[in-house]
Amino acid sequence: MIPKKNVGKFRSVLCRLGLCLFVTALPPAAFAADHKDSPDTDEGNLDITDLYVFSRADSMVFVMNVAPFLTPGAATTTAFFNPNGLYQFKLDKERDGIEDAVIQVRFNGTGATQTAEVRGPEAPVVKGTAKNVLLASGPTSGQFNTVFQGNGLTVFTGPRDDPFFLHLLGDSSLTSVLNAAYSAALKVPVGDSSAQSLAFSNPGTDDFKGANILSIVVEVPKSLLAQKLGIAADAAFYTWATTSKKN
Amino acid sequence: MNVSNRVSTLAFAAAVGLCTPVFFPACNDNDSDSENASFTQVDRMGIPALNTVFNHPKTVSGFSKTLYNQRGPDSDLVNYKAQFKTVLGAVANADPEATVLLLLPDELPAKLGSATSDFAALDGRKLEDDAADIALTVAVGPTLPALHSDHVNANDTAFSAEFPFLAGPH
Repeated sequence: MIPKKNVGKFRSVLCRLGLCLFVTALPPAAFAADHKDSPDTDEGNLDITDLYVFSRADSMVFVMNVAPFLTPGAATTTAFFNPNGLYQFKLDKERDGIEDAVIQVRFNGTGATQTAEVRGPEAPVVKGTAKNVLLASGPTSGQFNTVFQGNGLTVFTGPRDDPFFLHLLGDSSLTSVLNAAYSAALKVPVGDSSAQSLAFSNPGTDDFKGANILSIVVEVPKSLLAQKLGIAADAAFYTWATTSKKN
Repeated sequence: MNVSNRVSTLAFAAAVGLCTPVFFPACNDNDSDSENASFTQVDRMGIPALNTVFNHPKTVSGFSKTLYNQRGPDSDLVNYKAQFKTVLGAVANADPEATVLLLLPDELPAKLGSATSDFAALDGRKLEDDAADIALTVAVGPTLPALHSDHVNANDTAFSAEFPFLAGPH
């Protein structure tokens, strides 16, 4: 994990990458340094870090991770999902960028007693980015940080190890490669002048080692997905994850 | 009792003692009002790292991660095709047009019929897949092989074969 004295610099670099941290242990003043630059990262528990969709026997597993660099050891009383948020897996059968079915997850309350509600997969009431509303179908409900089942779904919501791995920071990392590539292409300096190199170190440093996130994991029968999307039992479909905030 | 103590006592009373549905309905952050609420998108993600990579410059006009996050994939080709092609050209991509059409609209493809998903085949993304190396290899041209891997090839913690698959928190 990152030495504490480097956390401020680390966070500021990540904020420039659009990955502001949700680090509860940092003093508020430090946390606010880049905090208001990006409306989308005002609340770390609405900041998506990764989407995974994978086959497992007769099911597909959907994983949405949020809250980058959640403090290791953080109690579930301080690390929880946004009760004013709506977390959705949007599913598209023809890759036209318009969702044909959605899986919706939302949360009641805060802290360790938070509960999750999962709806879908069903055709959305409102498509697109604005004014999404909850599906009318009855939700499957369960406790934060537990595995629960209902309506054919198996669900987990809670803190996990961040499964992502990447050399993101410092010299000879993705950041320095992007800085150098963009500086050359745009002919203006991009990023920190001390991190500009068109090469990766070998071995690289996993900057996500020891890091936690909040994870939503939903396992859905393939037959249910095929039925709700109106596609063949072996067909392709297309997924993106969204977080939204209550208007 | 001095003034500041009095203020904090009042605040405490408001927060704990009076924050009930009877006195302050708005304090109740539970579900009933959300059932009829509507929600506006603040973030999105399909294919790993697209926004991070293709909207990297923070201070150059025309690049905005926030705007990308607020948009839907239905307008990705209109909004981002030219920008993505420029970036891909800068890293010697052999066919920027074809690569953009692989990446946009920004949605993760997956086949119901596959026994094992594999991001390298643009068929889902499993936890073990080295998304960074795969994306770099797709984006960066064959004349820059040094940029095809960040040389971090696996997670620091083993995944589970059982639900929920991700390792427990640190």
